[in-house]
Amino acid sequence: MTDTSHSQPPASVTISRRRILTQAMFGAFMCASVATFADDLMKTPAQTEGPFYPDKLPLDTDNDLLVINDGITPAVGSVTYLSGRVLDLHGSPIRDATVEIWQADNNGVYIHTGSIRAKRDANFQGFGRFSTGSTGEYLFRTIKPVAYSGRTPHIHVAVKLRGRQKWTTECYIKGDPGNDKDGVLRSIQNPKERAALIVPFIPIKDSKVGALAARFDIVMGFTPTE
Amino acid sequence: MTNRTTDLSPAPNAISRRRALTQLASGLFLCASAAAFADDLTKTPTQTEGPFYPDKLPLDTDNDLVVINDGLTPGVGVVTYLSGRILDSHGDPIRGATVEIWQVDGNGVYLHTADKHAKRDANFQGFGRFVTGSTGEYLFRTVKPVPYPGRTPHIHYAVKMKGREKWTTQCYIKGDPGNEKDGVLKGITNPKDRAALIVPFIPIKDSKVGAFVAKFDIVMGFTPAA
Ligand SMILES: [Fe+3]
Repeated sequence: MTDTSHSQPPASVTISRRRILTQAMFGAFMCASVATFADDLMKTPAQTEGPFYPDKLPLDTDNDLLVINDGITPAVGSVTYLSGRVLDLHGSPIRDATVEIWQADNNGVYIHTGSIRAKRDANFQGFGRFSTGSTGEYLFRTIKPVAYSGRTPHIHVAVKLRGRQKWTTECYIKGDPGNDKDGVLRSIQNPKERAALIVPFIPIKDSKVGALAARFDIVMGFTPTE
Repeated sequence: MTNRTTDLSPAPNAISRRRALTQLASGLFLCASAAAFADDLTKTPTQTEGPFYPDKLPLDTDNDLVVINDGLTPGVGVVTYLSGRILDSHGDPIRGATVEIWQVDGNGVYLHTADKHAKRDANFQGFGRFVTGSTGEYLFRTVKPVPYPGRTPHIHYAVKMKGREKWTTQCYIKGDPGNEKDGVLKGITNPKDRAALIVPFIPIKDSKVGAFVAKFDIVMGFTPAA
């Protein structure tokens, strides 16, 4: 930082005062950003599990929903890398959290015997599971969800922690026109809470298959007692 | 997040490369060891698949081998977080690689009908699968492998990529006295190549269950066509 506009006080005083002011401002800024950060650590809203959690798990439960075991034909849909972190209320990562996702295939059909509105894509795994390490990160390869009758596109998410009830929510696509009309999403009254479930699906620059990336962090409403 | 630096000791240019690679990883999972990309990128040696790739896959194929689906009793053994990255010959992460591991349970028995030299631990998954994202990282929760008749402790790996043959290797525990007598490991005559398969299993400081962490990076002998 240079100062040429003031000539009255000795330069050193000006500088040191400025330095103090700068430090004070920096401190204030830090406080403000910490406060903002604390505000931002809003608990992720829970949503209903819904009726389509798999009633029979697939033969493959890994983090890749596009391919079932060594299947040669991948599922139909827009390849999407869905990742994020499972955090506690303080923003610390939660290790050993089991994250499960399930969603409809490109025809809008779940792997559930009650979901028979269209022909199911036999190559789509429909469900995946991930156990977090010390960073709390999870990762799935799946398809971009599509709308099905009565619902805007969404991915169901369950988080299981030892000694706790299964917790569920849903993740939505930012900008999808169906979001405004979706009863489940609209049931969250607070716009900020609603926004916490809506994430951008962004094209990956160097992807030959036109894959998308989406980040969905999950803030649990507690801090594990260690 | 634990950023272990104990292994960062060699030449400055090696360090800066490691630092760059570590930053690429953007804090995903653990950064425990970077043995595989010391100096030049030693191509990870391939090893035999062996006779015990599961002849029938478990009902759960996720990245947590310690618990099968919603099982209440975990597999017996020392919990180990096994992570690493799949890299090409330039050190760039490989996205969309399928990493599979399989190993014996706490009794030294594989998830294979031909392995009946002892009673199998019905709670151990024995096999897991992971698809990598843009950082090339994988993560498994498993148990520290134990010796079985004729072999030093090891974990089998397969890496599968679209349009390529399945590639297999084995990962060993640094300092295990059985390593010196193991015929499969000794089958690699070049000491540097051999060392690329041997990684430290490090106790996690804050772990109540005495868990370990191990990092095994895999350098494939090619660069995917862009
Ligand atoms: Fe073996």
